[in-house]
Amino acid sequence: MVLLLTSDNEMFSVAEDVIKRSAYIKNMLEDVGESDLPIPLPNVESNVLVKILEYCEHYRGEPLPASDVDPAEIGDRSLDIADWDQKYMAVDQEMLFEIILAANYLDIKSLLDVGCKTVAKMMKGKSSEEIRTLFNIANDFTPEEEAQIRKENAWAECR
Amino acid sequence: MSRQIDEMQDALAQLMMKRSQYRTICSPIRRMPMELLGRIFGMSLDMPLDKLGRNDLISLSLVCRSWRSASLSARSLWSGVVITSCECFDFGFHEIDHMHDEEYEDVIAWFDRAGGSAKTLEYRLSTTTCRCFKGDRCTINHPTVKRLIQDGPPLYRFSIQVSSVGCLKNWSIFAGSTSAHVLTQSAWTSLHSFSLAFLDNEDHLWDDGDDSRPSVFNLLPNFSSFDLRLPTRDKAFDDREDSLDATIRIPDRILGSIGEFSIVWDWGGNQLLHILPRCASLTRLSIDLTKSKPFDNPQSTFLPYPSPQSFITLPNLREFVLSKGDFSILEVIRTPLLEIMDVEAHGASVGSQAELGMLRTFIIKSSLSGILRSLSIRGLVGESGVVDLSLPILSSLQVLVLDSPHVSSYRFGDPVEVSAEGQSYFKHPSLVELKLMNIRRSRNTLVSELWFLKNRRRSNVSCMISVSFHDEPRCSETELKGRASEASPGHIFVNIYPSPVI
Repeated sequence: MVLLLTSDNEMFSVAEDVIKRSAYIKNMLEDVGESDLPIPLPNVESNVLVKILEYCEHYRGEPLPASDVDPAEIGDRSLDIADWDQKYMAVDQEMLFEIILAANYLDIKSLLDVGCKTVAKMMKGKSSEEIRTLFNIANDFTPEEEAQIRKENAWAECR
Repeated sequence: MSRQIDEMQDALAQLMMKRSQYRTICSPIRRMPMELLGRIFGMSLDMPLDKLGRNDLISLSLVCRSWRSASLSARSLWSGVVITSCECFDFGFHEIDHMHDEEYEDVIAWFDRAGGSAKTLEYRLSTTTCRCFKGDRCTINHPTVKRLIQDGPPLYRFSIQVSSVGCLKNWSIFAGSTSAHVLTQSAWTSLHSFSLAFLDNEDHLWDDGDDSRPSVFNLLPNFSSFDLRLPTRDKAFDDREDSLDATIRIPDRILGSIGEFSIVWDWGGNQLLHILPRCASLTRLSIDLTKSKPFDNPQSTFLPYPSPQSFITLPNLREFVLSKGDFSILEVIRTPLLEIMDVEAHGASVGSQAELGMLRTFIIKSSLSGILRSLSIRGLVGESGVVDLSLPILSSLQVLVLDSPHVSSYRFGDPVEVSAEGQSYFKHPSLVELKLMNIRRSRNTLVSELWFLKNRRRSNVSCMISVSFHDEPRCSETELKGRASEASPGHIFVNIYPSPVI
């Protein structure tokens, strides 16, 4: 078993073959060897780790799929997501981004990929205003700056 | 009372504004690092970017300052541009140049944001009819594309759609130039990939001359990847017989140096069998036969070639894709180093055993048993939805993709083969990924596949099965996972994807 200590001081005892889906933990275990000391995860809160462990548990023992290679490297731009992963990602926005950040920190490429695809699908084809509303983002451009940026694709028209 | 209502409304408005500010501050997306945002942007865009795609990228840039920075940091997002022939081609020769005179600088400014990323320029026809033969300006002569090729940044990929051989010959980039001159255009200096597609709604007879005149392909620059889509036989030839004898005169300068070759071609002759032997450096070959049967044509003057005893050996080929194809080509080529194979059967109505027979022979004759890593077979037809796949021993096969809406079950045959000397061999001992795409619903989904995987297991090799159904499945994901777990606990796993998968 591996001990994990979250940023809110919760201790988790996790089976090694479950958490080894995280390349970060896997490398750490290989480097340090067996130890009774917990691995601190200062960037992951307990509620997020519970969710991450649910993913690792679901894929426990499975060989790392091809998608564990960075999709950007192999040119895979497909937004297809497996049924179970879609259900797993049906969480509120806060948790969705926390999962992505934790997957990035823990180096779980397949989970990071699913998270990024989920967000990409949410904003695909939306206008900037729709995206701002979707993610509660304030527009901090001046009208002049906005007009200037819009001009960057104006050449797509006949003049 | 009215004043009180006004005051309360003001207070409400202020509270709502504050709430909006707090929401903004707390928005979890604010914590996303720039490289992750850039990665998400890349996933949401279809590269290279056409006008709509560029608008989408600008929309992402316009969300806020940090998104603007993220988009500018992801340089590859700016590296691919699609230019489409526009309506102003109807306005006459001079108007077109005038209406696009500032465009070049704007495209250069767009490409500048890509920095040193490999750049792609794609020129598409908005309507697939060119009227240059009636005296109108040829749709290929887009002033911005011409200037980009002459003066723009070096391109990694260039893609162009043309109506006819005549259009290509008249292209101002090539007109009056020798091939030596063409090779020095600034865009071509580090060109990797050239894509040429002949598309038109009207008939244009294939007119690439004969041996006394240089072929239009002589005008092309040097590159290492060639993607060629020839005009359809119906549009390019009056008679079927004409297409059988027409030549595709790609010079040895090009064929000898390309590592990747992709061709879409339905002419029905044996021209390809004359082209392939000259592609000595080929590592990737993709052939789309668009449902034609070119290698079975007694009227072609190219026959007999190759003779039944000789084969075309592609010594360096690592990847071969055959789309909408006639598997007869497998009877004349040999590929001793093939690692990735993706073949699509076409036309079988009662069963695909003839195609599978050719595939088995090809694997054995090319000695691929210990070489092939990935095999995809599409479009098989089985009797009552069942296909007897029984492939030869493939000891290196890691990924097997089977994609057909006509099949509900694949039978892999005996998992262990015994040689004449009495030695046992497991059939596909390295298989770690089995993808069953578009399969038909059945009560017995995965039953025969799991039986094979269970019995082929020599060591602790796990196998992931990805499934997508062509229609509403009869078995739930839980049921299929249960079957996998029962067949080989801890070694076989199942994931269901919405159709179409991947």
